[in-house]
This record gives sequence, C-alpha cells and structure tokens, in this order.
Amino acid sequence: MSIWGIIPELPLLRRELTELSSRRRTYVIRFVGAIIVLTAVMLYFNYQVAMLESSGYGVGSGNPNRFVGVGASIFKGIVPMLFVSVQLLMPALICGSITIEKERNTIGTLFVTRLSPMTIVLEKLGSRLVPMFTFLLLTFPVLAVVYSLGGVETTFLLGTLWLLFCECLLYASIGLLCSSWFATTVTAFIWSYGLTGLLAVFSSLFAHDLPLALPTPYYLWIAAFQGFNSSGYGNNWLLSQSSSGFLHPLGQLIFVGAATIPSLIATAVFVLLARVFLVRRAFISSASAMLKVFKAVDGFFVRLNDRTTGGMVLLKDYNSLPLFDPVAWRERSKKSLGKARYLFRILVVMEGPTLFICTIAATISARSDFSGLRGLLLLVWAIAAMILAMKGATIISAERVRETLDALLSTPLTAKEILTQKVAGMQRLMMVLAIPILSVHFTLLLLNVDFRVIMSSPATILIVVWYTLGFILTTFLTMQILVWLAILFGLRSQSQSRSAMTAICLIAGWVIVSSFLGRPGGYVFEAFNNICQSIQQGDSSRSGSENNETPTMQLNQTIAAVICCMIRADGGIQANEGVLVAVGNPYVEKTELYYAPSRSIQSALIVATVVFLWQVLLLLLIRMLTLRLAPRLLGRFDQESEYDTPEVQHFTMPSGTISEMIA
Amino acid sequence: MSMTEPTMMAMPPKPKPLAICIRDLRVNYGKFEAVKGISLDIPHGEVFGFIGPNGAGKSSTFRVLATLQPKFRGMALVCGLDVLSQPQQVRHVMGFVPDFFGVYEDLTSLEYLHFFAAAYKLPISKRKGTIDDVLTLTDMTHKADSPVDSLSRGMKQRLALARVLLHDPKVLLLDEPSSGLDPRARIEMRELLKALREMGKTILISSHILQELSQLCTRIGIIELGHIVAQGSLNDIYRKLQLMRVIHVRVENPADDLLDRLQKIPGVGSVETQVDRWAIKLHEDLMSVADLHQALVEEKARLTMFQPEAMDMETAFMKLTEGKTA
Repeated sequence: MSIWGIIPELPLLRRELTELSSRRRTYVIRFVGAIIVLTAVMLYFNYQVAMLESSGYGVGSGNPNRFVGVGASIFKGIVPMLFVSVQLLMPALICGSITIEKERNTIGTLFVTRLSPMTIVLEKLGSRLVPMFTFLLLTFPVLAVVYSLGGVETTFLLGTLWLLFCECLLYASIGLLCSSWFATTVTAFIWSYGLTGLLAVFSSLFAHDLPLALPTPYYLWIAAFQGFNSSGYGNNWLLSQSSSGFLHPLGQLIFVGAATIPSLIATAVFVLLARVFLVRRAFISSASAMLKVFKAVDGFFVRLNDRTTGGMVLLKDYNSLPLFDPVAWRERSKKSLGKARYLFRILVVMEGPTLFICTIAATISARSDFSGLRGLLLLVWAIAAMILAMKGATIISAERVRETLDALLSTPLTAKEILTQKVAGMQRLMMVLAIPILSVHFTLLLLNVDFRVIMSSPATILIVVWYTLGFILTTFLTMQILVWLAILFGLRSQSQSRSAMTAICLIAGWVIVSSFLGRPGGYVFEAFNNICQSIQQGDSSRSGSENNETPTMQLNQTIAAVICCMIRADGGIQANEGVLVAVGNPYVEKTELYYAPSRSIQSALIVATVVFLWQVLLLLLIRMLTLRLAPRLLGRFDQESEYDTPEVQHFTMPSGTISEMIA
Repeated sequence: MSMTEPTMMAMPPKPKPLAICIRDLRVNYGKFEAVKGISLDIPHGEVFGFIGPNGAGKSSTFRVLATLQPKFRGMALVCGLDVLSQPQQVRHVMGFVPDFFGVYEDLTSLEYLHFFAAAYKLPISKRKGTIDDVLTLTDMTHKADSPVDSLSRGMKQRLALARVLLHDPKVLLLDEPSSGLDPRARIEMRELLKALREMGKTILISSHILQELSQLCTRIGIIELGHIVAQGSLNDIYRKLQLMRVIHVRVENPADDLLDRLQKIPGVGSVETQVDRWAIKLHEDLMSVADLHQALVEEKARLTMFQPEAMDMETAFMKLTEGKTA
C-alpha cells in the first residue's frame, strides 16, 4: 500500500482549491494584498532602522554589523500587522464558503454524496485556510531577513507562528459559523466582520481583568512577547504567568501553548456549531430575511402598542398603486427598508439608545472634548454608511439575481429614470438614518456652545445657524455621495454579495486611507503646508510663534485643511466641526480637533464653505458618471435625443378567455 | 377632381415595413461569436418559430431585438425602427418575455401589472381598463390579488404575457415561453398565443417543443452555432430536405403479396412492418396522401386505419443540425 493511499481524498477541498486557482481574481487579490502588506512591512522596517540610527544604535555607518541584534524590536513591530491582516482578510475569505452553496442551490447535491456534514465543514475550513496561509507565507521572506538580524529567540519565532495559526483558526471558525447560519453571503459577510470586531474589541478591553475572558491569540502574543506589564493582567493567571518574564523560554512557549487552549476550544465549538447549522439551516429562504426580522419585531411592537395605547396607529401603510414612478413606488411601498412602518421601527431602535447616550453625556459630562459623543457619532455613521452602501450596491444586482432586470430594461424607462427612481425610493431610509446622526451633532452643539456668549452677538448667532445648517446639509450630502458611489460600484455585478462586498470594501478603503492621509497634522496636511510655505519663501511675515500666527501661516493652514477635507470621505463633516471648535466654548479642549488649526473663525468658515461646494460638485460628478455609465453597465443602450412617444392604443380583446378557448 | 389627385394615384403605395428585419447580425461575447451573420425578414402578422439547440444564438438574437444587447454588428429593425439608434421607440412597439420569469415577490399580480403599466407610461385613465382586459384574456382575474410569488409557473408565464400586452405592442418576442410548463399550462399557453396571432400580433417565438411550434408557426428558422441553417414554411423545409411522410396503415387482410404490391406503387419509398400496422414512407412530391389511399383501395386492401403522421419536425431538426453546441 503506497503512502498516498493513507491520505484521505478530500474531494471538496480539492474542488474548492481548483476553483480558487482557476480564478484570475485570486491572483490579483494576492498580488495587491502582498504588495500592500510587504510595502507596509518594508516601510516599518525602514522606519525602525532609521529610529535605531537616530538613537545612536550601531554607531559607525560603514559597519555591516551595526544592526546585529536589533531584529527583535523590528519583529515586534511587524508581527502585529500580520495579526491584523488575518483579522481583516479571514472573514472575507470564509464568509461565502457555505452560503455560496446555498445561493447556487448546490448544497443538496453535497448532502447526497458520501461526504458527512462534518467533512464538508472541515474541508470548507481547510479550503479557506490554505489561501490565508499562502498569503502569510508571502511575508515570511521579510521575517527571515529580520530573524537574520539577530535578537529574535527561536521560541519567540515558533510561538508567533503558533499564535498566527491559532488566530487564523479562530477567525475562520467564526466566519464559517456565520456562513452556515445565514442564507446569503452578504449577511454572512457583515456578521463575520461584526463578530470579529466585537471579539477583537472585547478581548482587548477585558482580557486584562476578567479571568474567564477569551484571550485571542493576538492579545496572547502581545502579552507574552511584547512585554506588557504582568500586573496589567489582573486576574488572568495564564496571561500574567506567560508575560511574567521569569520563565525559561521553553517554559514560556509551553505557557503560551497552554494559554491558547481557550481559543482552540472556542474554535472547536464554533466549528461544531457550524456543522449543526449546516444541516439545520441548509435550505432556509434567503428571499426576505430582513423582512422576516422586521415582521417579528413588528409583531412585538404591535402587541406592545395594543397593550399600552389600545392600538393607536400614527403611521399607516396605505396600499396604493403606482402612478408615475413605478420603481420609486416599489422601493417605498414594498421594500422592507422603504416602508414607513418598518423605518419607524429602525428609527426607534437607533434613536432611542442614541438619545439616551446623548442625555447622559449632557448630564454628567465635564468640560472635555466629548470624545465619547464623537465615538457615538462614528458608530451611528458606520451603521448608516454600511446600510446605505449595501442597499445602494445591491439595488440593481438584486433585480439581476431575481431575474427581473430584463423585463424592467425592456420597458421604455431609461436607465437614468430607473436609477433616479431607485435613489428616490431610498430617501426615507436616508432621513431615518440621518436622525440619530443629527441628534449627536445637535447634542455636541449644545455642549460646546455657551449660549449666553453666543446670544450677545448677532454674528455668532449667525455662525451657530450656519453650523446647524451645515451639519444637516453635509449629513445628507455625504449620504447621497455614499449611495451614488455604492450604486456605481454595484451596477455591473452579477451577484448581490459581490456588489455589496465590493462597495463596502471600496468605501471603507476610501474612508480609512483618506482619514489616515488627511488627518490633522498628517502627511497631506504637512505636505501642503510646506508647499505653500516654500512658494511664499522670502515673505518675512510668515515667521511667527505657535501662539502668534501670521496671516500667511493662517492662509497656508487653511489651504492645507481644505485639501485634507477634500480628499476625506467625511471631509464635509470634519470641516463643519471646525466651525464649532472655532466658535465653541472656550473651556472645551481643542487640541488636534478637526480643521481649525489657526483657531480662526474666518478660516474655519472658508474651509467649511469650500469643502461643502467641493462635495456638491463631487456628488454631481459621481451622479453624472453613474448615470452616463448606467446604460452600458446595465447592458442596454438608451438614446440621447428626444423622441415622440407613440400613443398607446387599447388593444381589441378577442372573444373569450383561455379556458373558454380550450373548452 | 383636383389637380393633385392623378399624381397621388400614380404614386405606388408606400410598402409597410417588415415587423422584424435582421441583416447580417453578429453578436460577440469577448472572442466568442454567438451569432454569425443571421438575416431574417418577418412580415406583420406572422408567427415565426426559432428553433435551435442550447447556445445556438437564439437568446442573443432576442436580446438584440429587445434592445438589451448594446454590442452587435449588422442591422436590426423592429417595425422599421432601428434598435441601435431608436431603442426607446422600439420598446414602445415591442414586448419581450425572457426565457426566465423573475418575480417581484413583494407584489400581487394586480400591483405587478400596474407597476409595468406605469413603466410603459400608459395614460392613467386607460390603465384600469387595459389591466382588466389583459387579466381576462390571460384568465388571471381570479388571481389578481394573489402574490406573484405564490403563482404556479404556468400562471407566471401567463402573467408575463399579460405584462407585455399592456402597451399593445405590434411585435412579441417570446423566448421559450413554454419551457418547464406542465401539459395543461402548455396547452393554455398555446391557445393564448393562437389568440394573439388572431389579434394580428407578429410573434417571434423560440421553443424546444418542436411539435408545438409546428402547430403554431407560419414559418420557422432553424439555427445552429450562430447560423440559420434553414428557414421557411414547414412544407418548404420538408421539400428541401426531401423528407418522406410516414403513413400508418392497418389492414384486415395483411397478406404477403399485398405488401409486395404496395411496395411497388410509384411514390412509396418503403413499407415497414410493425407489430400491428405497416408504416409506409411516401414521397409526397411523387404521390399525394389522398392518391396513396386511392391506390391502397385499388389494391384491395381492407383498411381499418389510415393515419398520415404529422409533419415530423424532429426529423427535420435532426437532419438539419449536427448536434454541435457552442
């Protein structure tokens, strides 16, 4: 018997890997991902080397041995990036593993083979772990270079590899569980990231103090190898032991191994649950999952309403028929995210907690920068952006998937009419999502502004009114930009999951990258500030101290702030907040807040106005581009010129119905 | 009589444009050429059957005519309107039923029809009457308030036909409307199409059920690998292919000499003995079916059954196509 006979055949794993290898997308993503990770790693490597040089480490620039032994510090800087890469990539890789079988209606075919449900789950898990490991392997040459510099203990290296492996397993099992539970890849994608984010946040918050908290492999790595103070780990004995530094390296490795047992148990539990749900939820309907949730919630609210008010109804859904804008009518009257009644539920669910937190903040807040409220603002914006991006991106692909698009496209409605009506149908949703955002802005206004001072001058009243109008307009403007961008990204896609993921990833990418580049005092800000200064070289008036800014410096910083806000997705909101900072309460901490670097109300107003106009222009451009490309991306052609609509004749009925004809 | 009258009378009447006119149509998907130079002329009021294996180019041709295929070469006119330069006008005169029926699961049949009535920009005053009429015609009135999702496949296809009738199009493009229907639903669909033919609609229909097309179509076109391999009336095609008509005969006196005599009748190709009958293959161009009946009687055959087989379209299809698919 040959050795190959012992190895199980693993047909599903083989099929998955064959499919993966035959897709061009696999190589594109791997190439782009590798470039990003390697670039980040190399930049960090250079940064670390530069830091060591500047600190006088390894004196003698010509000495080839000057960096010997510095590998450990570089290694400690690089490895977290690998853990973060796993957290970011693993959910996206695995969330579609089982849902795609449900979407293609092939899951039944899998069940009638001799593969057991557990085998299916494990082979699916393996099929997604292999690409993740391949991706991590790409970074190993860099790790090898760092290892060769010395200072990295072998136990340190082995421990890191083990923890990376456990990290992959843990997040893959979460994604797999979501994939077996949900019917569509889109919902599995969102929940995978949601649970991954929650786990990452809670493990970082509570791993230190709670004895039963699940220490994720990443935080174990930080505890064991990055040298956290052991006292910081409170009751978590394993972590405190592994990070104590008193143990022999091998003992430390054993402790790290032991500390991963909870995460491995969690992985096993998630995989077992995935196996259970694979069978139980194999044939669930994907058609109206959200509608079902809303109906369940609706039932609860109706019962509550009956008990409390005796069944008084404020908002009624009327069964109307479409008159002029059929597409908008359907979005408003028939979709779960369009019906007034359901939207009111969403509003209650979102606005209730938001108002509660705002009230608490207003009641107990000391004079501070209200960072908690700004965190809340970020959260409600993240929820709103995700819902809008998903809805916008799937607005056409949903028609494609349900095979209703061709019928719609063969009507005289133009692509422009279809899309504008679709967006018109989303206006209610946008309003509902905007209300919690506006509530937080309004609370920030109340907390930041001393109304006794404001009311003393008509100019400041005007500025407050300006700010209020500004946050209302920029909120809707930003939402419109998000929706039109999502529609553009999702127009061509054949599947809802792909369109939603493409839109969410691209928009999230834009938000993260632009926020990083365009942050106050960041690269772009400093670069433009320096460019402006170099243009104005020789101008003696620019010399001034930090507290005594010259008009030229103010101008430079204003221009830099405008550029930063223009590249940022949330630029309009940031620029508008600059107005609040400039006009706001003198007791409020203003350091590094938004784009009012000169603390001048004039420059803040200029920045806000220019950025607002830019965003209006941006919206018009994106809208125009989407509408221009729409016919081609939808797969049909629309004529530009006007034409005479032929009058519709009422056809002559033949005598009798089909039943009568057959009879 | 005015001076202009003689001139007007002398002018030849302007010919009515064809319902569908396709010239050298070519459709490419990347490097793959799905349609390779099809030309078709379909006059008004004709029911043209489009037959071909999967991947032959039928649906691509339909999509061009339905203004849903932006990239193609050649010319395609619907009622004299160019689909490339006048797509909006084409959409007003054409109704397209694709080969699948996607449902708006959240609408009832009535809402579905109102949705498309608004999409076809029907005047509001005419909508109710028109929708009532198409519901009556398609026998869907009792299902007006049922969710579209709950309808059977046959009812969904009838609803799809009702949808395309809303704006009273001159041309109907029906891509496999009977696909997946049970026998009753298929018969209902066929009767509905006959009613539409009587209403003067021009119908371009594709189907895999060849027998059905032979009963419905005035002309057929057989397409394979993007080429039209034959088109014309069924008789034309049989004549072209020199196909023999099969006539099933049962006689009371099936003696061997009678069989020999039958085989010698001019026009009879062969006589095959089956369990309870003889199958006579007849060259119709040499002898008509009625003449064969007369000849049999003259040969003293005591007939208990004389049954000419309907024109065998399947044979024609198999003979014309080679089973190649894209």
